[in-house]
Amino acid sequence: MRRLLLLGVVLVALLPACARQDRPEGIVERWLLSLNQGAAGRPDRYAPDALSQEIVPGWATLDPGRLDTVEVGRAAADPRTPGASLVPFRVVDDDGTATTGIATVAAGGSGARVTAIEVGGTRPGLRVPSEGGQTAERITPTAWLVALAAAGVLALLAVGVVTLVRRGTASVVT
Amino acid sequence: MSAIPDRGARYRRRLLVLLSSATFFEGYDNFVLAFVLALVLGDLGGSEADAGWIRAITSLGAVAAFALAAQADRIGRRRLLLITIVGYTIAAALTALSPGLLWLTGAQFAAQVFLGAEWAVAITIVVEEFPRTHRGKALGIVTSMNTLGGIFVGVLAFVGLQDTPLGWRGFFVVGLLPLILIAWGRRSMLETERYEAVRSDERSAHLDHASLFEPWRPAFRTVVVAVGLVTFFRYFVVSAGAFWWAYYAQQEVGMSVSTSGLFLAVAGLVGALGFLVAGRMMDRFGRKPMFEIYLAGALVFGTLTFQVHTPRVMLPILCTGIFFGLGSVAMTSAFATEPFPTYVRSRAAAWCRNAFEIPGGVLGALTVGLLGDHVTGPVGSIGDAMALVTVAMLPAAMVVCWFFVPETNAEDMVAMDEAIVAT
Repeated sequence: MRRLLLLGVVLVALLPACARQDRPEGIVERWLLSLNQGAAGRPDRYAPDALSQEIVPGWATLDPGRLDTVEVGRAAADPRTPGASLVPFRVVDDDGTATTGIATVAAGGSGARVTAIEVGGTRPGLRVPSEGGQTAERITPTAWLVALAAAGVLALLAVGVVTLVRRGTASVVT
Repeated sequence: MSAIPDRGARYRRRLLVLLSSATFFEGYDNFVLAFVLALVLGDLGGSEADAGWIRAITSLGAVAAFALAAQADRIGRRRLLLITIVGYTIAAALTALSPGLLWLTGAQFAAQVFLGAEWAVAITIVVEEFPRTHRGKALGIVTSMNTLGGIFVGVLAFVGLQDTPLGWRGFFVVGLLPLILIAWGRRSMLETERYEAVRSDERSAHLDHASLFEPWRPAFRTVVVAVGLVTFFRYFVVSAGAFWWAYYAQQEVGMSVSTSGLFLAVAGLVGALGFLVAGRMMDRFGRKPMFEIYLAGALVFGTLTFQVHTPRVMLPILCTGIFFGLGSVAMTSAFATEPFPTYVRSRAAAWCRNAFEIPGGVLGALTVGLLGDHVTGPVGSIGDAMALVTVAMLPAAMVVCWFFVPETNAEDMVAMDEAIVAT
């Protein structure tokens, strides 16, 4: 049992190390969510102030919770800038006003950042999920197979553990 | 040992109301943090990974609840239930006053300590106070209140509690309501008949009523481990799904807070039927067959719930997923209590619940949060991570249950206690 617990702790600790990456969709989402937190959200970590003002004017002095909905779609490579990505987004203000657009995310000195936005802009294939676009990620067939394999391994492990306990119990009783 | 007169159906109905109210707020508190998560992170700051850690740490409170829950075999079921209700309301008040994530995490940790013990003792009371033919039905009702507590969160969100000056804190102010239960429950509730019978039987003097490790005696050990693993795998998925669904709906599907609240309320209401159907069906067809059917349903509809991005399609799938996924707790509650004699039942239930099930819930929510973190997670999507975890974990619960968990549909508590004191 102790070994199993230790294994579980190690697996969980290793999870974040499996893949360290900065997804452009995540960067845009974090930026919009941080804007929704007002000054405490520090959206400057993700985008210049001028871009933040375009989405939530005066965000630094507003109360948190101005945006009722924050949504991003799957990113696509920016054909004009090598290494940059385009991310469709949509926010809905608490008064029901929706703003859609395309954000450009590019790598910088301190990691990926939003470098430009085109409010109201559209591109073929770049849509948020609520408008028929794809979500940021989609499970690959390999990932499904890994999950099924994990199911088999976990079932075998569990059966092995109970069998071991039962054998130990039988030897104590006899 | 069994000379105490039956208290009758009227008392049991009143008892059912009290226990149902207790499990109602257990469900309420488990759902509420998940539901207002985006608002809390918006107000106090934090990321998906932070949210996963908050869930993990607060859920550890329910693990710590083990020591408290196990006291029911020593101080009695009634007294412990009342203590846990008072403790929870104090913790809810402290949560509402949170100035930051650290305070909130600490207050919710304390809330989970009391709620974790409350659940274990409530289930034990049901098993001991209701006749064999009605145990499953009563378990179904009491456990269904857990989901109705979650629905209540959705209803409050739909009517706009989050838009009041209290914001997300208002949801925790509602958690003070169980204090009313105390005023009523402390007068009308009695100690369980089985507990009184065993404690007053001189032949039970040789039994260990206090050791936390009594359920690990050879006679009980295999069942504790088997039931524990079943509950671990099941709750790994169910807890993660309950915790992350609202966030998934709001951030990955694009639903508003109020729409996702409405969805949760409707799905929870329909899904709550799963508990009641499970309760009746397991009295009729047995605990194990119904558990296998329910987990198969949870596997299919739980996976689909987190892969559908069209709200209209999601609602019926979510309803069915909740029906099977959450409804299966009626069977696991029976597994964790019915195979054990009265003198050790609460401690066995505490081991199954607090040492296996709750850690499963902690790891489930944390794993999905780490895998699905939108910026750094290996999967990068909460919905995808949830679907993969569902496929990986639920089959193990089904296999262990099928081969190792005893069928307790016809278990006679009095005969079991007679046999154990005679040894």
